[in-house]
Amino acid sequence: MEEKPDVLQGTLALLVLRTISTLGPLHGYGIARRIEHVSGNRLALNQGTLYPALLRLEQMGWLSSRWGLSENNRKAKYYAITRAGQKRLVVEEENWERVAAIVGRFLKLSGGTS
Amino acid sequence: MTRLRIVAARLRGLFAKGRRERELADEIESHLALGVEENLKRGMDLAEARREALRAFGGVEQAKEAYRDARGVPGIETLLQDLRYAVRILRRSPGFAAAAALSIAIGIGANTTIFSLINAVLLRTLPVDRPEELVVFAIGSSRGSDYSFSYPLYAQLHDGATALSGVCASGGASRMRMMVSTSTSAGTPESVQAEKVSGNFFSTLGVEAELGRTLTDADDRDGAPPVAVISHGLWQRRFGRDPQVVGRNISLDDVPYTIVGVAPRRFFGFEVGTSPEVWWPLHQVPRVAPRAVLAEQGWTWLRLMGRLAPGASVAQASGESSVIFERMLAETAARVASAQGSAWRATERREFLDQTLVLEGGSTGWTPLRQARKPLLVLMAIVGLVLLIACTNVVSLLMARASARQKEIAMRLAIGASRARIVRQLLTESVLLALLGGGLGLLGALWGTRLLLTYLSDFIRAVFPQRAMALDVTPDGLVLGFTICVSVATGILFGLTPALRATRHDLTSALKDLTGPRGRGMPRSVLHRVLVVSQVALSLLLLVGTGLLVRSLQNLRGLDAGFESDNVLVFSIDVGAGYDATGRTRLYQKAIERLAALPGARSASVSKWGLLSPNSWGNQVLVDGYTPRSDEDLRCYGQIVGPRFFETLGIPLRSGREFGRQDGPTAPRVAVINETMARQFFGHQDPVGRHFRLPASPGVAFEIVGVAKDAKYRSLRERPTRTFYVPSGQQPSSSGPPLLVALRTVGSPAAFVPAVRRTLQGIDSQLQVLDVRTMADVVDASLVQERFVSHLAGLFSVSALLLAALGLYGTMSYGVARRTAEIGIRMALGARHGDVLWLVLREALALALLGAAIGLPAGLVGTRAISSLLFGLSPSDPVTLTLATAVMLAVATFAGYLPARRAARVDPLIALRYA
Repeated sequence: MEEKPDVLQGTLALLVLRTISTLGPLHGYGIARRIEHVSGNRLALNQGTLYPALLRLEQMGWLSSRWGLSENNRKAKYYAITRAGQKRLVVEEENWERVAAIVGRFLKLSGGTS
Repeated sequence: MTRLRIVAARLRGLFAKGRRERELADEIESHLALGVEENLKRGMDLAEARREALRAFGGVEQAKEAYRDARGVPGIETLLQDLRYAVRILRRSPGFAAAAALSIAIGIGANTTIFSLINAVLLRTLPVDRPEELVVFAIGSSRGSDYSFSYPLYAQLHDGATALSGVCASGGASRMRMMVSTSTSAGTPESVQAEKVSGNFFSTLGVEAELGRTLTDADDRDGAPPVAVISHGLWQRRFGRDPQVVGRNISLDDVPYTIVGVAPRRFFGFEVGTSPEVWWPLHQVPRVAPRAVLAEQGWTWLRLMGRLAPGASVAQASGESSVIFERMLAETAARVASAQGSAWRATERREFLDQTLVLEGGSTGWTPLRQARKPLLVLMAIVGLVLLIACTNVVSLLMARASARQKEIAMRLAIGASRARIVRQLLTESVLLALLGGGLGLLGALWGTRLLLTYLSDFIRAVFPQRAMALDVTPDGLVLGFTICVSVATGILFGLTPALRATRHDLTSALKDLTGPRGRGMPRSVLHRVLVVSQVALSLLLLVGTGLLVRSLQNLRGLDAGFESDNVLVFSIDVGAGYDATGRTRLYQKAIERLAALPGARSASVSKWGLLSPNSWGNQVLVDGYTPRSDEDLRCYGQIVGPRFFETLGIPLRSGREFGRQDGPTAPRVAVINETMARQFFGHQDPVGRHFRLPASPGVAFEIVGVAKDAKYRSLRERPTRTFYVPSGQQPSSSGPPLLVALRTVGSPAAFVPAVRRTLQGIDSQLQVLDVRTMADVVDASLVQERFVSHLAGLFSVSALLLAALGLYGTMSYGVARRTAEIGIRMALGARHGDVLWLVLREALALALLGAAIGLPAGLVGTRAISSLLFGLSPSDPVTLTLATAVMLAVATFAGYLPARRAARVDPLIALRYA
């Protein structure tokens, strides 16, 4: 099996915001499965690391949370993106694209992947 | 902005921890449940589904930890955790906690006491507006700094300084007789401290009246109506905070004033240590003193203070003022030179012109107590040492305890606690202990500062009986902060070593409990020994210092002061305003006659300043028929005394006679000189019959009629100085402090006080007797500083000795406990009672001797610092050194004897059973 690259902390925030922005309010499990699914199971994500990340996003004011009932009638906390969070998402996406372009150019210039 | 939000969120996260933990647990649980369900749907069985869900999740505890770290403020939370743990631990061994806290309390209490004093005298800023802009004027010369100015100089500085927004002057506070007139009576006289100040005093200092107004320049002019400002304290005490007090009339020394305002509560002027109750304008002074006071440059009686103008620097102000000052110096020099001619020699003229004007920082006001800076700093060093000793004691105690907690610490290290974490927790314990001790110490310091203050007041009253001292030593923020800082630093200081040592240990042996009396266990504690030795050394240092100070005091007490201090009563008479110069002279004569006639009284006399007083009258003396060398110092001190003075004070006359009634205003001028003066000007010849003159009145020749034995005039420490005495009957009885009356009695002088009062009231019912003391009291009072310092040093050495003894005892006890098995074996093999005793005692003595070996040389070096306080012995006085060492060894022996005795009583059977 090929090595699954680890998800860096900063990109996790991006992934979470994007997921919630697309799918609407989700609980922690849902977010984790969605990320795994979309990445085609190519990312090694320790689901537990989500929770500190969710807390930080909430502290920053980009997510809001409330308690609700999950699909199987269990108590679960749902996270929704705020307006500030939407704005942040745009910024993060731009940043990511810019970084990716720079790194890509760098790799091409210095010999690329051979 | 987001950072702020994060911080706020984290702070919020400190609270409601329980609820959040539960919520997180719920969240994770439901997460896992969802995972299990999905896995079940995929076809796994229950056990597999659960395993898979957990694997996908990752570490649950790690996730919780990471969450907790992000949620609150981890630093604070661990601190709180450590604190809770520390409290639990300390509660489990209350004896140790009490002993340690008490030791620290002694150390910190002593430090806080001295620091409060230093704060009040040297550091506290004046309770005025922007004190950092204030400056104090001083005149610097080769003899040091002088803070007294004349009125003309003040006026010039006031007018001429543009870099200063104001220059104000104060003539100092002194006791005056105040009467508050009401509609019905003139009031009863009472003593108050009243300060004479310039009109701009309050405005320069930046103080507004609490009621009414303060003084202005308009009040401080010739012919202005006499007004005064009273203090908040007086307003409360005497006027009951009457809101109508403005406009009421009082009289000071029989001169009427109208109250125009009340000063704010904490204000006391700029002289630290005084608390005046009334302020009155300088221009009213000529009513009670010669007019010359405001016009003559020779009268230097004002202290000056200035405030820098906005934007001006001290250098600018200093430069401007110096120009004015030097101009005045030059003018005065020219005038004196033309008046005195050759009598004013070149060296003196140069010394005069070399004076400079200096502006010192004035934010803390001014006080003559600043001269006490050296003894205060010495005290600070001493208490610092005591604290150090207390710390080393606690270190020993802590280390003994740490070894008992070895297993607990090893366990925690084994399950993964970092060494830093455990050290931090142990330090929290130490700091908590130290803060506890510090709190106790602060309470003790409150008591201690009051005690110190009583000593200081006695000192001031002894030297300046006219003034009362009031120093505000209540702890303020600075003192509190100091105590807390010292406590925390102490805690870290004594906590660090044991903490580091305890966590350094070899885990396996600790866990396997090989640290009992059997086996190698811990190496013999070198550190313990080092600590005890250092305690002993420090205590010896303090003992030597104390011994030297105490012996100096004894030397001073046993000194021949040149007069008989037993059975002499001294006091002054408050004459009131009803007498002119002749009336006063006659009053004193009558009083002396009647007092001397009292049954049990031997003789009575008067003097202007008395003996052992800082005031005196210095003058150059030109002796007829004596040609002085070119550089010879012709200055002599003068005393004005009445008839039978020498008899009353018990000063023997070497030749000639003393003054009598015949030496009146119309008789030829006579004088008595002392031995030192006689020796200088006349060698071995008899001076009686020779003459001398004073430069101020060259036409008047004083005939020497007697030679008296040298006496101490200003302090017991002074070297014999040339002094001459002139009869009070021949000097104009100027106003000023009343003459001092001395009465020699048979038997205890204190018993005569009522008789003295009765006699004086019999002459005039308005007379009051003030400052009654015996001459023995005066002598004692002049030694107040020495008594004070040696008492304190004694207190500290005893504490240090106690602490060292405790330390020695503790170490020896601990050693004996550890070696119980060994002792049992020895006894079983035939060692006797005495052998075991000696075994332990030998160690104790070895430690003590080592400590002494270090402490003695340290003492020799250290006591050099106090050599200026000593009298009659050198800092390396062998008797003192031997005595101190002997005391130390005796105490050490006793401290070691108790555990030794316990060791000797060990029952070998019991000891071996535990081996």
